[in-house]
Amino acid sequence: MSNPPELSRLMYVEDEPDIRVVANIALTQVAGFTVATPNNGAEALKLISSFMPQLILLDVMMPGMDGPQLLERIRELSDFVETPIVFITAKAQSEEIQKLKSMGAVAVITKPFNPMTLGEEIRTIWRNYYESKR
Amino acid sequence: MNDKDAVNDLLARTKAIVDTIVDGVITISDRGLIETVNPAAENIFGYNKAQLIGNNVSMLMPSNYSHGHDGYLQNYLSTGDKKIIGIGREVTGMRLDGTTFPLELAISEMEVNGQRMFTGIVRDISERKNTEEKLRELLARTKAILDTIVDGVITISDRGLIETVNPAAEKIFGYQLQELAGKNVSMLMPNPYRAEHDQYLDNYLSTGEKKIIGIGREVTGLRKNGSTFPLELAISEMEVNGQRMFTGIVRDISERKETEEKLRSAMRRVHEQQIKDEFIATVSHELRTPLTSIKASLDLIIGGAIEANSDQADTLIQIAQKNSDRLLLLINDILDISKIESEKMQFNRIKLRVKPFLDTAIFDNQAYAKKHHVKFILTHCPDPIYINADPDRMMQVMSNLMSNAAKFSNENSVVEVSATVIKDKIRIAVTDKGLGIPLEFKSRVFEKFTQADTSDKRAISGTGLGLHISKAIVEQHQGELSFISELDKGSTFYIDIQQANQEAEKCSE
Repeated sequence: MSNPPELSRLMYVEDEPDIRVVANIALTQVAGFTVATPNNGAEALKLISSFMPQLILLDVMMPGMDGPQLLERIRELSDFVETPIVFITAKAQSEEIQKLKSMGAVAVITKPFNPMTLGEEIRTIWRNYYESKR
Repeated sequence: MNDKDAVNDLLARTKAIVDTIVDGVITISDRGLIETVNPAAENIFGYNKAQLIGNNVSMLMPSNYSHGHDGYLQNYLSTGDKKIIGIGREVTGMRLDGTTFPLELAISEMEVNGQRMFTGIVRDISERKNTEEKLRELLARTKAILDTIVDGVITISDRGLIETVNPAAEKIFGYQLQELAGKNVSMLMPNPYRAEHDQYLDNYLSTGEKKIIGIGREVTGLRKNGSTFPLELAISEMEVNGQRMFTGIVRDISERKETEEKLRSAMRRVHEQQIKDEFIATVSHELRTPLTSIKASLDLIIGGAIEANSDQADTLIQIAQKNSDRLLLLINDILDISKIESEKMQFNRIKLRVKPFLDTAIFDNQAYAKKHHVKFILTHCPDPIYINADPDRMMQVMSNLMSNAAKFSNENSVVEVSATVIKDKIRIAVTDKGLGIPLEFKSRVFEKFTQADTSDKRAISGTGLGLHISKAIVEQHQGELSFISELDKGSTFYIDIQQANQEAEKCSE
């Protein structure tokens, strides 16, 4: 049994500029990932093929294309059919979380998140994703 | 023609008549013996002449009658006591084949050559009896149906007078038939239908214009006890003996309506609950968003992820502060919404002089002008004019309109504030030369938590509640908040509010 590959490249699509700032610090300085933080779906789709993220974090409520719509678009790209996608949402109701998971997200992280442990949380999701695939 | 010829002619004519009429004609002697029969009589009883003549007429009656016949005839001849003679009546006949049938019999007495004789004219009324029987049965059946159905059935004349009602109709309206018969059917309707009914009927009879006939519909009924109830009414028109009549079938649908109403109110409650749940979910989302920035900034500083006193630490502190302000605005707006929705918002209305009020609004909102690099200008305001308003709440509306205008203006443009008198109203307008509102968003401008779907970062800095609150506040002042907007040209939001009278102007200020 091989260990999962090292997780290093993340993309986090988020429209709130302040949350992008804090998430960037949490994911790069604290957790040591290489991170891209486009501010909307269109930007994300432009960036994704050159950045080649191993895991994608999506805000849910965004102007233009929302998180679930973006997920669908990403799944249409042959390179990202299986890439684990995680929603990060301020909609904390359990029904909402269930709904988001049923759309094909591997996990849902609720806001506010803890920036000191966010990276660890994502690594655990990454490991579990590989466990479940075996 | 001689006398003999004349007699023969008369005889021939008489014979022709007797031979061809459909009624049977039988003459009997005073001893009850048959002397002549005509072809119709042969036909009716199924005998031929030869089988009848000379026999006792009782052969044409079933045995229970035939026994009495001779006695009866005897009795009559001796006492003159007539039971049948001269009186047409229904009796039973018996044919050759033994079958019996109803017949109508008329007997007359005559004397021919001093000999007493009797003529019986008989008519087979089997068919008529049959039809009558069928009719009676049909009537009985119809009556049974009318008496037992749950629908009320009322017939009225073309003058609107009640002719018949069935028991269900009596029960539905609480009247007895005798209280209704001959009365105008409009007594079963509350006003204004009562007043309209005669007119409607007249109109229908003269123009043929139907409003109800042939169409089932819901109307209101009036019971004897004065209570009203919903009923379903279907009217049909008929002609009876050349007389136009109307039949109304009525069904009391109180219970059905009640059930419908219960269902509707239950659905309304569910819907209201859904709206509340959605609002709470959205509020939770809206509060968590700035909180995420605040908490993450502080966690990163306290957790030692970044160096204290660094530029990065400054940035995070500013993020925390800015989002705390936003959180505070949100909480204030949510409180306002909750007050508006529970109708607990207080309004201390005073007579407000418009010009100084707008001057203050421009002065107090300079921060927005500065932030978005625009200029607020009061372009037009007659003075003195007054409105009755809560100054704090009205200022809240002005701040909302002016901050929106500033936020969506192009840099270095002017936001115009003005007041104009339109009849008895005053229009206060805030006009920007900015983005304008996209067509598809116009209908949702005043909804809660809505902002035009744009990636422009200016749009997301609000709470999405301001215009909803402003509209509610203006409406609490019996005013109206509206807007006109053209994409890329700008928007005008305007308040139309009743002008306060001029007389007591000294009291204000």
